Amino acid sequence: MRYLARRLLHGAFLLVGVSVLSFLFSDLAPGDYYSELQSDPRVSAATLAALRTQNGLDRPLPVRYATWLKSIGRGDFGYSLAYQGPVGPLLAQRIPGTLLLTGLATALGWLLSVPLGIWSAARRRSWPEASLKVILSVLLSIPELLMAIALLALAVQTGCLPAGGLHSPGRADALDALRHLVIPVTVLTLGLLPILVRHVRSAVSEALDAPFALAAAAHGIPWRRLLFRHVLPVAMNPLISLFGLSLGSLLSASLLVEVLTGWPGLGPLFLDAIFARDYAVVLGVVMISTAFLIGGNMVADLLLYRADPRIRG
Amino acid sequence: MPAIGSIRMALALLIPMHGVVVFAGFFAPYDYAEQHRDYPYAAPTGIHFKPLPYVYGLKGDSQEDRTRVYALRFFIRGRFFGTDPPGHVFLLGTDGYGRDIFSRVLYGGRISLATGIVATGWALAIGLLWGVTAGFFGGWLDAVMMRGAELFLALPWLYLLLAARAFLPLHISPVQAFLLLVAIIGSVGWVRPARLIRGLTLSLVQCPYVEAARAFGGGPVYLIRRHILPETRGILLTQATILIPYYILAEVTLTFLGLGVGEPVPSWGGMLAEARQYHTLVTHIWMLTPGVATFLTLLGYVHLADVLQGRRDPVR
Amino acid sequence: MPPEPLLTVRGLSKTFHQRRWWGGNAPDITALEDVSFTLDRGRTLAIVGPSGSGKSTLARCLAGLETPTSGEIRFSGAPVEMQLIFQQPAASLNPRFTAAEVVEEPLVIQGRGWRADRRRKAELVLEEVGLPASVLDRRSQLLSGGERQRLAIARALVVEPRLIILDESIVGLDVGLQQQIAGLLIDLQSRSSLSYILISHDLDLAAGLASEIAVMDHGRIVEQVPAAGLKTTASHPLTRELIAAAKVLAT
Repeated sequence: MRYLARRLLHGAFLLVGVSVLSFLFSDLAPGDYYSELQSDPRVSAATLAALRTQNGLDRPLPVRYATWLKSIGRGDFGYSLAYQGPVGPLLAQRIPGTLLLTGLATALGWLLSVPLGIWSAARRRSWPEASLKVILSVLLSIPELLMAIALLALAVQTGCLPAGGLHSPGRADALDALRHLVIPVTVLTLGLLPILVRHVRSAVSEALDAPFALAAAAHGIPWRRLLFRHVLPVAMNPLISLFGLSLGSLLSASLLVEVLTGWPGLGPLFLDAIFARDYAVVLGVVMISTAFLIGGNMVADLLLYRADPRIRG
Repeated sequence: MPAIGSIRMALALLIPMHGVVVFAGFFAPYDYAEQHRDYPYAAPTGIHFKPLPYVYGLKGDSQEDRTRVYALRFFIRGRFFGTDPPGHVFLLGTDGYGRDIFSRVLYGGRISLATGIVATGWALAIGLLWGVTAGFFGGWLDAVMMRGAELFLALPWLYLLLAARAFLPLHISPVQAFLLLVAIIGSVGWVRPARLIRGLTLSLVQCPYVEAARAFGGGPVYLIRRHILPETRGILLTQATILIPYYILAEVTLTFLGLGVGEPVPSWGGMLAEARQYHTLVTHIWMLTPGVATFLTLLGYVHLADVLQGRRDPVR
Repeated sequence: MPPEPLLTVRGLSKTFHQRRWWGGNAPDITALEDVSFTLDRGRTLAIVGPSGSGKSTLARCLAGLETPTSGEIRFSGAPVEMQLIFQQPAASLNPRFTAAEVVEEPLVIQGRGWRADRRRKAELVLEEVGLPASVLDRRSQLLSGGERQRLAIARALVVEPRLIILDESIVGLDVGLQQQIAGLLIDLQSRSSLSYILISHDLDLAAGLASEIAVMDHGRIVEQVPAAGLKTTASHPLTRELIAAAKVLAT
């Protein structure tokens, strides 16, 4: 229990740290939402100053941070100057999109890579396994950028899959959404696969080589039982840690894929806010993505705690 | 199982790529900004052999005009190859402005590769300094430094990258953009090398020979320089091969999204952004070449990293 | 008036405070408590005792690797003239260094002399310990155990020390090598009136090399007697135990 409490505290510390840093950083930024207006001769300096005061952009940093912190506590993520509305609902609207995409890719990725990794570990030093290694290396080197563009071009060419967005015009049903999901999820999964398979293979390999596994095999325990009852539980530990570690890459890849395919997730929102210098939204997305990553790692920690008796002490 | 191939294979891919990019001014037949407005979206020029290579002239709609023949010459006008005017040799076709894609891929590689390598140097420098300091002095300094480093891992790397970029001026000169990019990209991913180096330093500091040197009056600077730094070479090398491709990809991504080095400097990311018009893309598939170039570069580095990793843990 | 002792230690104490900076303390460890002794030039003092009695801590305090909590160490000479040779001297050499680099290191740190001078000193000192000059350019990890032992001693000698502290340095060696090194040390002592503090849990070795023996237990010196006639003059129960356990003395 103390272990979990410590992990929670650690996560909270990280969140606070990131918020302070981002706030500091955003303050260093030359210019703000109204900077673009500065070059417009029709807008007077006085108007700009008034606009800034109205939105609280002129108060000292610690005050702004404290205000922001308080409002976060109330669930208010600030005010988006670009969308002219509270940031919270904007985020809430986009979060499910990202979650859906990353969730599906994770599920699919692990579903595919665990069997592949096990097979690969079992058939070491054989030609099929060697060619798998090559394929995976190649897959790892293909930038998701390229994959997505190529697939989208293909979709446009063949017309069998929609090329982006959430829904085709005029449709709002789940089936349509599913068709739109195919390309983004495929790209994300293919990006995940090489990393996962490698790690599954090495984790299972190591477990297979461990003395207890060799002894069990020598005792004549059938292979399937050996695998599922003895080897996999041991391989679980590094794999659960891997889940936590790969989350960051997954979220980053998702950002890119969302932008490329026009999928309504946090990615496009983030990018637009950056170009519009809508720092409230930028901050909000930064905090949410951090929270996701920390949350994901907490889940991994929890699973580790349950799965590995050594951690429980 | 030993890694397939060897360092030689990886280098056989990487060295020519880097060489050709570094000497783009020689290998590219055209300047990166040179426009041929008469031939937008031209298809790759076919090279025929008779047995010496030659090309046909181009008509307005980029069809071959077999009545005009131009020999393919080497070492012409200070460039590796080209043809006499008014002939054109667009090895990979042209883009919307009639700029030779092959040339732009070569020139564009400069930014991507340079950013990748310089940013790696920057990240490793920070990681080395951070790790050695934390590991050598230990105690509360170590704890504070490593906790601080963790903050950089708390964000997904692309979010961190974009957020850092967000808070800096949007419209800046290419040189500034490059330096900025290097600094930002390097700030993502120095943590892992720092941790590894810290671990190494911690174990080295306890070695009897470091203590002996301390007993002779060796100060921190001497001890670090003479006993610890030489041992970090291995880690630095393997981390470099891991970081460089990561950073090249980061640059390509950032520039693609419009937050990197902008026009008129060509870059792979920028060229891929132009390729986003899918209807044009399907008939002009060669516009994806920068993506392929990125892929090949990454492949080389990934393979190199694999081989080096395989050498460190031989039993896998 | 007798010459001033080379080393005077008075009331030396060292307590380790174990702090956990996230709150809570582990109990303090008193490694040394009120240790006092003197050592004259050209003499050898052996400090014996069971493991955990504070012998190594004492050595480290003397060498400057630890700061004593209280007490006084007075050494008539520059700090560098007191050298420490570690347990397992072979491990105290950086495996990547050449023998020359190992031996010259104290000179480099002290900033003494040019490269040529250092090299010459290195050759001289190697000769003293009986190593051929040809090992100078070999990596230390390629040398044999005995050669590395001698190299460690050579390194200590290169700064012309007055006192060498040997912290269990020759204890774990095979008998032949031990005798060789012991012989070398005695030889050096007679030639340059070097002083030694020999720290050991092996009473036989101590009695063979030292003129005086101090017995430590739980951080204190419980008895200090001349080595000659140890069996008869020793009175402390711990000393008697050690004598009984020693192979040669017990007979």
